[in-house]
Amino acid sequence: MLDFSRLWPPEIPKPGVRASFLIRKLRPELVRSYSKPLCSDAFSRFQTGSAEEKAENSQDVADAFLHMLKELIPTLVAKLQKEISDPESIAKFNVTEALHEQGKGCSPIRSSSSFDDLSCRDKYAALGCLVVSF
Amino acid sequence: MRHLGVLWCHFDNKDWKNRVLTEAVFRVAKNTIQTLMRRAMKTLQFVNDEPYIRLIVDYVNLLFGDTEESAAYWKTELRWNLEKNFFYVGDCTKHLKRIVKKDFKEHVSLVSILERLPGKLGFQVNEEFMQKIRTQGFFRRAVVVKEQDLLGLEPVVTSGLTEQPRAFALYEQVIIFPHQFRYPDLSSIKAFFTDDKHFATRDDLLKKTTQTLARTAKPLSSNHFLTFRLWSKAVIALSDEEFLKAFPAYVAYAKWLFGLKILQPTEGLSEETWRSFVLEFVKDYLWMVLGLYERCYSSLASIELRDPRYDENTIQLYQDFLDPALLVLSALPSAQAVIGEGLSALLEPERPTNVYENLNFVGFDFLSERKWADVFDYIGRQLKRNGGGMRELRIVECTRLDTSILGPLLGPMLTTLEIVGPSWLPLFPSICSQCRNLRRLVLSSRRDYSIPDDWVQQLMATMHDSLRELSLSGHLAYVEGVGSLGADCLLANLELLSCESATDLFAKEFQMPNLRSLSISESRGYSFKGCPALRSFTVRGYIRDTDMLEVCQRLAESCPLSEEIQFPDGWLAIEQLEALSSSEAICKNLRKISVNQFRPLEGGNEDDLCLAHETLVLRLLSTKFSSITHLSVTTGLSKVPENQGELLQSLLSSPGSDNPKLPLEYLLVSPGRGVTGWLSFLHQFKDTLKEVALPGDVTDEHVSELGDLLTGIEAVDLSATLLTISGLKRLLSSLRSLTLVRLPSALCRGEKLAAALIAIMPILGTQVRTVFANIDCLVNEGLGHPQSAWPRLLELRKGAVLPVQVVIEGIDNSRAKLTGALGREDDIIDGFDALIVRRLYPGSDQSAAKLRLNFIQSLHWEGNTMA
Repeated sequence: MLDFSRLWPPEIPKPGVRASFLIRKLRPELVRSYSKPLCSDAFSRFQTGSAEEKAENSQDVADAFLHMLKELIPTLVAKLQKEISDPESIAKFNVTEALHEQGKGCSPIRSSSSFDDLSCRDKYAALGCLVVSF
Repeated sequence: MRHLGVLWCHFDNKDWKNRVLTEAVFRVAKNTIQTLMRRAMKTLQFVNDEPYIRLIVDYVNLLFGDTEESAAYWKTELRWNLEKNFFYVGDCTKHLKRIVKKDFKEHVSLVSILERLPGKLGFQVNEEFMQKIRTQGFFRRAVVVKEQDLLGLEPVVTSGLTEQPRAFALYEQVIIFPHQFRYPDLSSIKAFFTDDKHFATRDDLLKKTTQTLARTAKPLSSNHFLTFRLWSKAVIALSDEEFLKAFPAYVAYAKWLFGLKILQPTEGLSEETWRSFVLEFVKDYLWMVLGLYERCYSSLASIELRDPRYDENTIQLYQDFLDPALLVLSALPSAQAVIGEGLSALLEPERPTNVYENLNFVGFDFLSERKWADVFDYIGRQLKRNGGGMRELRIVECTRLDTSILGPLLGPMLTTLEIVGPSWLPLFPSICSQCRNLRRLVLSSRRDYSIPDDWVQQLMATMHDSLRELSLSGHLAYVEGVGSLGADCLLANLELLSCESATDLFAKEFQMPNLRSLSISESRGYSFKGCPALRSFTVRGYIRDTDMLEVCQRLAESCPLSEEIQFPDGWLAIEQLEALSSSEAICKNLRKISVNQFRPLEGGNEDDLCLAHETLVLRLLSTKFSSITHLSVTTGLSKVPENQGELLQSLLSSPGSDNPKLPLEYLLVSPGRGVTGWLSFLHQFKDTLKEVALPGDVTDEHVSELGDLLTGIEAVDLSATLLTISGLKRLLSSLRSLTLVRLPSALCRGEKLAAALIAIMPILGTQVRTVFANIDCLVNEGLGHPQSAWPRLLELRKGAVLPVQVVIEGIDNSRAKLTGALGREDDIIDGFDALIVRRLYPGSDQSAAKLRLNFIQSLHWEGNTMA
């Protein structure tokens, strides 16, 4: 059985929130559109590679998260403020959809060390499921 | 959405800021109400609208009311929720705190939040109220909403589901409806409700379920069979009044399924999946035939007694529900045949098949005379189309059949014909003239009184060469000078004979060299010289001691191959056993002895003599008859119950004795006491015993030892024991070969039964088919009665999904529940899946409903095995 509950990489953990890497995940739209492949096991002890590799994986995920906060969201805000100024239209605007629809395209998911540990057959199965889920 | 806070910080525009913060507050409010409702549901176990409406009203007033509590709530709990869920990144929290200090509510649109909440949470608000909330200053009041503004609650089904699945959600509501709140006539319950309109009863919700299904089942269902199952569950649990209203639409849908849907597989489904869908439907349908019969008629008794509450139309609707093709499918001789060839014949009507040539109508008591005609008309057409003829036909316990309609099915191809229950006399001339190749003929009815004296000769005139097995519910006489067959060859080919009496024939020493089995009711004047191959002899009625002695002497003289001797109403004495033991061959061959009791010796202290005599009989049995596997003493062993354990020691081989141990498999005696002796007995026979009734002084402290001794046991009667639920659990979990169990009577009284069933279900082995519970009184209302909660038993079995029959036996009535009768969910409201299984006539252990339930159960079992 394959468990996809940790498929999407986590946000940067926040001190005081226990196991936040299990509950606060990046949106698929962001992971797909981000320029680098991201590791699902970042910021967690599920990573089994070398210390450098772990740090690099976590750093990439942190960069993606910051990219969203510092670039994508401000861009979205600027765009919205510029395009919609009528109070009634603003009141009816679907914020959820706008937030979710950030980013386009698709980038591969980085081979995490735990993925490397899978047998060849399991990898194909996992990738097959990923393709289906996309 | 977790970054609404970041978004909010980046906006400069006031309207945009307001929009984003409104979204965040709306989400917190929605989640808070949902959490509160879930928590309330868990504590209250209460699905009625009333408490949840109060809860919503209270929270909405707290959130929107112009009160100090509301302000405090926004500044503390709501703010904390916003921070935790949406404002946790970077400086967001700091920014939020700034506005919280001022008037927080000014920064959000309260109207927008209140407008969206009903839709998201599934509560209806009256229109007038919704218009009012847009008026200036509306939120400057302490009480924003009152209970009367809320019209009701409906389950919200997400994931894009439409109206059709709402019916499932409604039904689920009723399932978790607390038992004591289900019935509207309980005034004490009504007192809980401030307003009658919020008092939705079990029936209200079921009514909504059936109404929704009536609207949506055909056009919107993605699985019409699953919808049929849900509809069946809902309709069977409705009150009489609502049932009558909902029944026509249900029958119309069922008929639409039979006529059209079965033959048109859903696009994209493999043939195998489609067959499995249809099989599930067939099982549901067959159960509903019984369930609806119980609703429409007062009982499943043999006398047609319609419930006065149901009019002609309802009865007609029920008969319309009975579909010949599906009923004939369930008349196939085995579950395997249904799942294999039977389903193929149903799904591909054009395909040639010989499946209809062998049919077994057992317990089809629900068919009216007219419907029988339809069924046989259907069979006739199928046989004609396939160019075949009926080969084997069994009709057992079908009281409403006029057998004259069977005429067209008779013919030279028929090899087996059994008619048990309905009168067969109208058919008799046709049987004699047309069935020349019958091998087995069973004709038994309690209605045929004017049978001609020479009827055996009439039968044998045509089927003398073929007939091997003959069972008749009449007296066999021989009329001199009638027919061409004389006494020497009239019954010469018979291997099995069962009748009321055949004194005439046996007195004349008819030659029956091939006869293996003889079963009669009268036992005088028998000579077995003409039947040396006899292996099984039964006297069904009372037999006097002297007659029994004579029978035993004659068997010993003439029938050395005797294996089974049964006198269910006879009292066995040492003389009879000695007479039998005079034949060495019988001593070697005899396997089964079944008697009512052992006759006590006469004179002296009765109890002592009884014990002495029984000891002698058992000792003789164990020393002389080395092949006995089956010993049945119906009324019981030992007049003094305490002596039973001691008495059984007589069956043990003495130390150093040359006598081999008996290969005893079945010891059927009414349980007495004497656990120590019983345990020694079980030690000796633990390798061979398969069925046993344990004594009345078995307690929990014997469980460990019994667990080791009964590992090979297939059926165990614990009704007399003093086991507690914990002891019962421990014992049953160690019996891995068990298929049938009778629960201790002490655990079957009142509420204890449900507790015992809940405790044992999870640990019963997967092979257990039947659980019996004996109670002291009639149980017309026992199972499924509103005042007794009924557990979801199949659910408790965890992984072992094979249905079990739970039979609650009363004095002259019983009720049987087939777990998971309508699907593995096992969730029919109030146990309406338990059926009355009334005996067809006094003294009979047959019940039409029970026979049908057994067949449905084997369909479930076979279906699972094949899957």
